[in-house]
Amino acid sequence: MRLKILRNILFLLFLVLYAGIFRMQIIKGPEYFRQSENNRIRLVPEEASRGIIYDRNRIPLVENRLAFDVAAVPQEIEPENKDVLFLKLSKLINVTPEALADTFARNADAFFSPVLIAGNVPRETAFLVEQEMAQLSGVFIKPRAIRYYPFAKAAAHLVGYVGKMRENEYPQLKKYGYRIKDVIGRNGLERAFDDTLRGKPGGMQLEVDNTGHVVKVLSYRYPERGKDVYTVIDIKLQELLCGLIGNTKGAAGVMDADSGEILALYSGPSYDPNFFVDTGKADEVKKILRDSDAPLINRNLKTYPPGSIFKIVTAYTGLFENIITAQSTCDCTGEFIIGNSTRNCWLKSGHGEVNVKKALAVSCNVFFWDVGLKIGERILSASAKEFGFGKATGIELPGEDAGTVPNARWKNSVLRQRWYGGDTVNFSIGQGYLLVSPVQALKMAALVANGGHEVMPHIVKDEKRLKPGRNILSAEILRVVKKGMFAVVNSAEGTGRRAYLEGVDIYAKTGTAQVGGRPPHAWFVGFAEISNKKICFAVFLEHGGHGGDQAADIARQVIVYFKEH
Amino acid sequence: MLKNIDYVLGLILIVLLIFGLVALFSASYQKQLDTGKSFVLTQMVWIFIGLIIVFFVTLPGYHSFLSASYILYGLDIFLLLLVLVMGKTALGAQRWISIAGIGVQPSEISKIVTILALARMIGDNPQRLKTVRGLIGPALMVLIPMLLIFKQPDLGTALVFAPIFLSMLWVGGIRLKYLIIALAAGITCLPLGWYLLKDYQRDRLLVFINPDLDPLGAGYTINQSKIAIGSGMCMGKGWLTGTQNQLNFLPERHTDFIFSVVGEEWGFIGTAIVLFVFLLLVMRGLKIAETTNDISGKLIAVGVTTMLALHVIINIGMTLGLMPVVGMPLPFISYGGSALISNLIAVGFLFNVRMHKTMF
Repeated sequence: MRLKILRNILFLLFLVLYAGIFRMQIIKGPEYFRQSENNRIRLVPEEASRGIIYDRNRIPLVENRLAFDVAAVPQEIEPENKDVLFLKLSKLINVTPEALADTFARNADAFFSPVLIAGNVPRETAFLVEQEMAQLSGVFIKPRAIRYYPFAKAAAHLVGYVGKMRENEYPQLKKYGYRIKDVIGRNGLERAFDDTLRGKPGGMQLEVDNTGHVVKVLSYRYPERGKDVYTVIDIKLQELLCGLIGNTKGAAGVMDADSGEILALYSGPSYDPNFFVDTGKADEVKKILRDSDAPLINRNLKTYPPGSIFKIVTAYTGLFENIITAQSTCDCTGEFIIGNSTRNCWLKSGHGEVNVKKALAVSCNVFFWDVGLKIGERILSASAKEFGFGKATGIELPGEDAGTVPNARWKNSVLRQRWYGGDTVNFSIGQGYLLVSPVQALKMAALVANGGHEVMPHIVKDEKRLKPGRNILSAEILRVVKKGMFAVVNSAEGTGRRAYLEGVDIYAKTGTAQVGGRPPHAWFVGFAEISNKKICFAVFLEHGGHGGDQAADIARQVIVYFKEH
Repeated sequence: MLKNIDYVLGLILIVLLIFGLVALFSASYQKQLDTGKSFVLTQMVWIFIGLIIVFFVTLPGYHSFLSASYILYGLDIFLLLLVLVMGKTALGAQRWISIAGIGVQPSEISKIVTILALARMIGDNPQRLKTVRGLIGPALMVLIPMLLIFKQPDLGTALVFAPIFLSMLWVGGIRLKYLIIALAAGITCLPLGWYLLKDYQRDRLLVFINPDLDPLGAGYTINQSKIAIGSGMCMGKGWLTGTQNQLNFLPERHTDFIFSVVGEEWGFIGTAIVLFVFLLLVMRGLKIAETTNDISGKLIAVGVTTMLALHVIINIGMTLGLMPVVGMPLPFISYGGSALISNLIAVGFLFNVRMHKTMF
């Protein structure tokens, strides 16, 4: 009897053990299994080499160059030999042993994963270390691909540069498969096409023991090289623009009017993207970041008052809305009365009797004030939007601004002010609240050149975009506007005659945008018809004076380039 | 006499010893590479020695041992004192003494010697359990070695004494009232015991309450053990292929934590079978006690069976995280000579009681 009770007690205790193993192995088994896998498996990633960015003639705009890192594997270094090792190494790579030991300790991560001790050492140093390898157990030279930008300043804003991911960026990028310490595109196409360029990292799956030492390699995956990006840029033309603008604050773009292919796009002043890749150039990077001329900004994508180049839109809208005809004239006395104030045309003596063609050629303000007032802000702003102003063109580069196309409703909601007749007057000649980017101006030129077909400026080759877009503007009316633009360059009185080039039909419009107190912004926007191609250009010089001067010269050089090629 | 050999018990024992060698082979598969010593071979030598001792323990009737039990008891107390004076330290505790160059853990033997002495004392006068005064003798007989072992300190072994004692008193016929009083007294003394514990023992107990307290220190072993057992899931990872075991994540895996190796490599099926064989052993031991009319023989069977059952329950409970880590090997499976031999002697007495029950 008493024995039976003892037996039951012991039996019960065994049942508790059964419940215990059932719970751990059956119910919670998978969770414990995961934990045991985490215990033993470590990943050592191997970076994939980035894709190349080519110009339209397959000239690489960025290359992968071999750089040499000195690295060490902790599990292969005997602790007692560490000091001697660092001393030997320090003589070879010219860094103090203390600094070496410090870098080693700071970067050490796991026994099996190589620690970077010195990055991007000169080729000769790398060979020296390689020769002395026998005495430097655990140390090895790790070749690594780094980005090299052969055209340096010329293509900086187009190509951009790469950099290590910052810690605060990681949470957002994690979901796109990025890992901490990844190199990512920081600007330009490197950033816009990072997903294409970066490829898929490979790596080793290692089995480690309780001390973190490798027991065996479980699997290896080759890194998948990034895909190349083929652009439609003509790097020779790009270099030409770079030479013409250099460190002047300004921007210039050249585009094929039918396809929207950007042939060149330069922003000045520029910077050397190689500084951002090489770890030893921190001072130069700092200088770029602190430069008050803001070389990192791509001025092609920023917005400015367009001045008289907007008269193209006003002229088109006046004709389209039947407010004027190609023949109707206006008498410019040099003065224009709006409300109770008087405004002067830029030519105080006045232009006399002008039709729309002559008004464009001489850039008569009075003519367009009159037309603008008759059109009204509402229709003029709607028309400006048809031309692509007020919204991003969709060019692949990061950081494009949409600009502003004002109207009464916009002014009321943003500035909480009434719209006056004076605002319409300003608007009609591209002053006041209107802000456009050089790329938008380039698109406007393309619309005039191709007869009003929708076009999307783009840098990367895209077969789908080669077909002409839907017709959004009247080709018939644009022909009238074109005549005016032709006269700008090809008539004796035209404001852009400095761009005249014998044997080439150049159409353009100058712009001299007033900015209170400082020299005006210079614009020269238009296109040339050369052997069945319509090459558009938009040149913008920040505080560059009259649009018919330097800006026109630059445009002319561009056309010369096409004439000769 | 040979016809009285308990073949069922023998079969159970052989199965457990084989399980033990197979598990030990896997647990020491990687480790023997650097020590150069084969745990399996050493263990087989211990088994061989143990079985010879069992033979000599079984041959004379257990009454001869009962007669010698007081002398053996005195000798054991002497050895325990010797350990405290000049013992070798293993894992922070003095449990070993060297006899003729061989490390011996007297605390293992003292459990059996105390069972024998207690069986004799109660067998000589079963009526003493009816009075409080009569209980003083048996109580002292258990408390002296228990305190000496506790002082070593070997918390696990010391704590096993109490249940063995209580189960023998229970089967011996103690009044329920006294048993409850003894239990209550024991439980009241538990908090006092806290102050007698060494720091590492307190750590183990605290870690048992909260294993995340020190995951790389005291909690490491128990966490790794749980991961090992749990990750075996139903079918196990396979013999010699448990990653917790083979990659050395599991400390003490050839001794106290061998059940974790079994759990990882053989899965739930393996652990359930091993546990079942142990359950059979316990049930067989109690069956022998039941079929023995002699009070001393019955008490010996009850004592050793309870002892073996507790070893199993404490060890497995510990590897599952159901009990604090106290340092208790799994009978017949864990590596280690002293525990193996004393457990074999314990089974030897089961054989003995079964064989000689009709002689008296």
